[in-house]
Amino acid sequence: MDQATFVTLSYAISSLVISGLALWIFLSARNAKAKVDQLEKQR
Amino acid sequence: MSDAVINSGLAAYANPARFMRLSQTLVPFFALPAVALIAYGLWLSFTAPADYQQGETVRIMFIHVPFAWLAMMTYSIMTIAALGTLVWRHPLADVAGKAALPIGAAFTALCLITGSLWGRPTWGTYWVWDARLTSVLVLFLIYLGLIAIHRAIEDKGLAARAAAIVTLVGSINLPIIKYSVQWWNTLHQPASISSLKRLANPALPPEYLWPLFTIAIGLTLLFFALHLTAMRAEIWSRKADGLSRRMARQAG
Repeated sequence: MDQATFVTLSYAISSLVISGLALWIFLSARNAKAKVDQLEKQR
Repeated sequence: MSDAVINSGLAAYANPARFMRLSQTLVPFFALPAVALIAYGLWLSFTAPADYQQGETVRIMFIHVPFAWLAMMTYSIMTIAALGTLVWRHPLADVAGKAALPIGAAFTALCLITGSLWGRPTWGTYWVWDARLTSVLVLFLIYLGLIAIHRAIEDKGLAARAAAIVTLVGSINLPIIKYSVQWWNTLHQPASISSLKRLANPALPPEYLWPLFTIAIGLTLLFFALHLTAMRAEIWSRKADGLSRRMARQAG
């Protein structure tokens, strides 16, 4: 592999992991909030 | 400052409802500048000149070094949260410690991956068992172990105390990571920016310092946005569990 490939791989993997982590955290928060709202409505 | 003043100061932020209101306001203040700074930092990192020795691979430094800083900063925050759980019994301390885990694990994994991808063209190998690399791998394993503790122990209070004790024991690894390049003969280079004194006369030229600091500040702000959001998710999740149990008791 040439130097540019190592750089591209590093940035691509980092972008994927950080975006995935951010998406997972924001979706977890949204789902947890929705669950609380649903339970409070049922009560 | 007296204990009473400290306790009353901490108690003001011990109310999860108050935290939820405050964090709702703070998250966009961290997230928006984070995205802007990371985007600008990436542009700077790709317009910086190639290094006369390392060539294009020097660009890996602009993300590898911030990941390393954040991996350690996250663990430092978790260590303070562990003290908050065990000593001050702050209601949000356990939430803060648990919410930081996946973020810290991700930053540590990225530090190891980008370091490995930088090592191959620079050192000729993806991995060596030197003190710096091994101690960062140990940090990653501690993060995984703490996640496992939270998943394995059903009693949240017990899990919080067990995780806090392991976090405090594991914090001995932080100075080992920091000083490993001085204490042992390692393939990993010593820190180029290790103190404020060194910052005044850094080993790096400004065209490398700017992208490095821009991405580092951007990722730090992103950490706080993600951490606060993860804490909010954990608080809602616990509230949902509590409501479910209460409704099940009322139904039974």
